[in-house]
Amino acid sequence: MQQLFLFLIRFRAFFVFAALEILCFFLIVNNNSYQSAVFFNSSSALAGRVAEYTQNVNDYFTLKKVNEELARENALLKRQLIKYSDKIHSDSVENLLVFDRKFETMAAEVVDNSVNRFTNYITLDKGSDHGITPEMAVIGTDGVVGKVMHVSDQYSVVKSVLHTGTNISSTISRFGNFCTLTWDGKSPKYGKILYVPRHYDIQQGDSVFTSGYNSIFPNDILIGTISEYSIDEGDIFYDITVELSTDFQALSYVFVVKSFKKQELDSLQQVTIPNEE
Amino acid sequence: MRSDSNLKYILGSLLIILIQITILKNIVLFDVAFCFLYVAILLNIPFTVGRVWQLVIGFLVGLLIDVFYNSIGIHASACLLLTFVRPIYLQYNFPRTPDPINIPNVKNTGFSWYLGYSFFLVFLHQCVIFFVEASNKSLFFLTLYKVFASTIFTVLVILIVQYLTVSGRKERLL
Repeated sequence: MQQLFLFLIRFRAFFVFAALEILCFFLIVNNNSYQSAVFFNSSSALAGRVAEYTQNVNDYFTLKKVNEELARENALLKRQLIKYSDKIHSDSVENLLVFDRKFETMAAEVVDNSVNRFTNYITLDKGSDHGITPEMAVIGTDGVVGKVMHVSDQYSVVKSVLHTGTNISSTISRFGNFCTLTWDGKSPKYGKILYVPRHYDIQQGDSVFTSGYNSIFPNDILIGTISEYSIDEGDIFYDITVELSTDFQALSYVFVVKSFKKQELDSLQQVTIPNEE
Repeated sequence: MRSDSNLKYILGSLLIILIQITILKNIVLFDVAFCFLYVAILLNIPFTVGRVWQLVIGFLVGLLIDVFYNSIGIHASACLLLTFVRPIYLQYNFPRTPDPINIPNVKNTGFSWYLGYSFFLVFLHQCVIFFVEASNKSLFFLTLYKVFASTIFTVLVILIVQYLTVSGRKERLL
């Protein structure tokens, strides 16, 4: 027994090292799930506050760009409003559909962002106090941004599209097919589109949108345009590079999308689609 | 004298963490070279600190950085490895100095010794950070490229900061 204690004391540094490394391993694994401990990431009050203060300084340098972006979006919305105002006055079945709201958006400021890592996250200045919950979609003025991962009272952490674990159901608008958006970890400007079979006649410049099949993202949100594609002899699927429409390096304001139908859809799918065991 | 230098070490460490999470976090050279100046805290742990306490310091510093980088566990495990290997490195390659020193820094130990020491340990640290984060075989060469670029950048910044904060005396802020 004494020998054992002597052994433990002699190599205590190694045992402490091993124990803490194992703890780290569990933290790393746990971090990738959506329902994990909240306080150990930048949505925590301290980290969020620091990021916000830093962003307050940065805000002044990006004012002009944000201003231009807002003006551009205003113009776009005004155009759409004119288009819809005719419809509302005419009595039609479509009228009813306009009021059948599926999604609601909420603006949030980006207080922290990264684009050069393999796993990039965005911190927003809105949290559960503002009605944000994990797995909500986040979109920007130009297109898809990411998915909410962790939420605290005041802040939330978003898993950016620029994350090697990204999987977003998408569609090429010309075909209406079913494919998946991922990121290969290389350039913050380009993503990859998987599972487009070879019988589709793809062209450079084809637009890719979200498909809306997963009830998190609304359908028809722009992802980007196809910039390169290739297929080898004998391959089933194309190798497609898509130029992302969102400029992640200059992200300042985003919209968090609340889906009213998500719960209903999810519970329905649980009943009708049996889980694979 | 000695407790004075330890106090300076603690205050300097807090300052470095603050700089790391507010400024250096957003600095990435050529999209590949990251700056992890905070590693200097672990490189310069006073010799009077025991091995187990070194591990605890490494773990806590890593965990704190992780909170701000949204990478819980990755920096902590890298810092743990660094603080575990550091005493072993020192055992075989202790700086030869005329006077006994408490804190290993570039002025105390000499430039060439410190360069080898910091490069080896920082390289180890960045290997863990980038390979764990990538965890993908197809990204091997890009990851290796990032590791080398970041190691050079980090060591360079550590050396510059140490030379800048040097006062005439042997014991300094870092």
